[in-house]
Amino acid sequence: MRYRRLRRLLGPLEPSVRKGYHWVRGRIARWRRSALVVVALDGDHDGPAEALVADLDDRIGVWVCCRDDVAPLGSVGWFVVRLEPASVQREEDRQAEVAAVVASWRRACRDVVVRDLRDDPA
Amino acid sequence: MTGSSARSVLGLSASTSDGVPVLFMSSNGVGMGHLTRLLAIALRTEPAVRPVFLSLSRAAGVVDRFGLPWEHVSSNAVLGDTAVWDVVLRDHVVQTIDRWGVRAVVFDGVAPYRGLRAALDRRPDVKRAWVRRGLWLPGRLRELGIADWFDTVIVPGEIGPDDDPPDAPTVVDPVTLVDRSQVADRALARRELGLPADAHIVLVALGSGALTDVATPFRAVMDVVADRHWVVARPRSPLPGDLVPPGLDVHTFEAYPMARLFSAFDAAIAASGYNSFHELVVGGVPSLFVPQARETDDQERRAAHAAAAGVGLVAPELADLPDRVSALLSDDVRASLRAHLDDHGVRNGADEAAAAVRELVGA
Repeated sequence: MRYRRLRRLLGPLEPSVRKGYHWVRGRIARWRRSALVVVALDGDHDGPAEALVADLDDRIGVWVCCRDDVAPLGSVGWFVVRLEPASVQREEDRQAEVAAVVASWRRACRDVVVRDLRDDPA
Repeated sequence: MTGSSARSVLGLSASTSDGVPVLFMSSNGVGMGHLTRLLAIALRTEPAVRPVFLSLSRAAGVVDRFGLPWEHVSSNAVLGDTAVWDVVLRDHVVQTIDRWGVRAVVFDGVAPYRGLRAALDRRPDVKRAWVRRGLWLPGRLRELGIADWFDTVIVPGEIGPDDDPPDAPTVVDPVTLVDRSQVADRALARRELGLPADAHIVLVALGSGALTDVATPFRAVMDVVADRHWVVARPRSPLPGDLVPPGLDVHTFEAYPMARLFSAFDAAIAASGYNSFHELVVGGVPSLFVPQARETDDQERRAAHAAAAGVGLVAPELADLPDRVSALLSDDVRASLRAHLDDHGVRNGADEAAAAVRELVGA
């Protein structure tokens, strides 16, 4: 209610004020957060997902997969990004898609650690 | 049921990759109503359109059963940090648009996210449609004020009157995933669900319990049904968690789309959310609707419409449940409800909504 009253008072200035507010809020949020991005794609998730979640501390845990493991991964606390396998038939495309996801988290957070389980299945 | 098997049981032909790529994006962190409604529309845009799904629902994997490509990004609730999530969502939507060559985005959700809008600001040639369920709680819709941002707003209709929207959307008939003609016959439905062929069976579908306490009304229903010799069946949600109290004599089953098998039931006791409500009406199942409190969806008014039209009973309060359940189990009451349901129009608004999407992309 208070926000709506403020919007009415600001009148024509309101869109730019709101944009500025969200920009500042976004910068602060990104400065404060860090993430662990786990790239698993087709691998078996059960063991690693539970083991790694214990090491997260206050980092955001991001799990990048191609399998339909959205519900179990989500239920143990991972932020899940599921990519459609059909969109990345070639290995180069898969690499590019994973790189795009990682880059996105680098834009969103101050600090990003990547753990690629394709290199280290354990 | 995996691969594209849900498609075949509904009598749909195999998906093709020849159509115009359109991204169907649904919200739903803990539910699947928006996702199911979008599926209903997307399947009817084929073959001119090639649907690609991006859902925030943890149950997004059901799309796979229709042989359609799907992606998932967890909802903001997982992060609790909107500013970070906006960036991630924006980038993912942009990447998905580019990867699939998407020509339009069809969004079904209560409020189009800042990240989604930022993504489409970066891809201004991509058309945009908002599938916006009707029957909002009083005043809530006008607070949003962002309908102008879309090329078209499609409102899945109601069986009763709705408020005049503040914009000029395309209002279609109620949208359901399953047409009445796609509902299996009773014997087949009971066999598929493993239910006895000759018992009286009531479906109890009060939701996953993620948003509302379903255990209390469930027990209240069971108290009435227990000594009437009815079999109680309930769906196990594709969503994680099993929030119905243990130890009850209930037949639990899994089926999606469940509406195809509604002929198995002599009666239903269900929440009056958009999808379950309209699916039960289309399926011709005599039902008792139990409205649940939501942030925007006026379930109480929807259930009242059913009662006014004679196509359902309503229990607005927990205290009303025993009497209303007793009434539902009466042969005379069910016969009356069934007569009204048989007279009810069953045009599926998903066809008209799909036509609007095809028109949007010139397909």
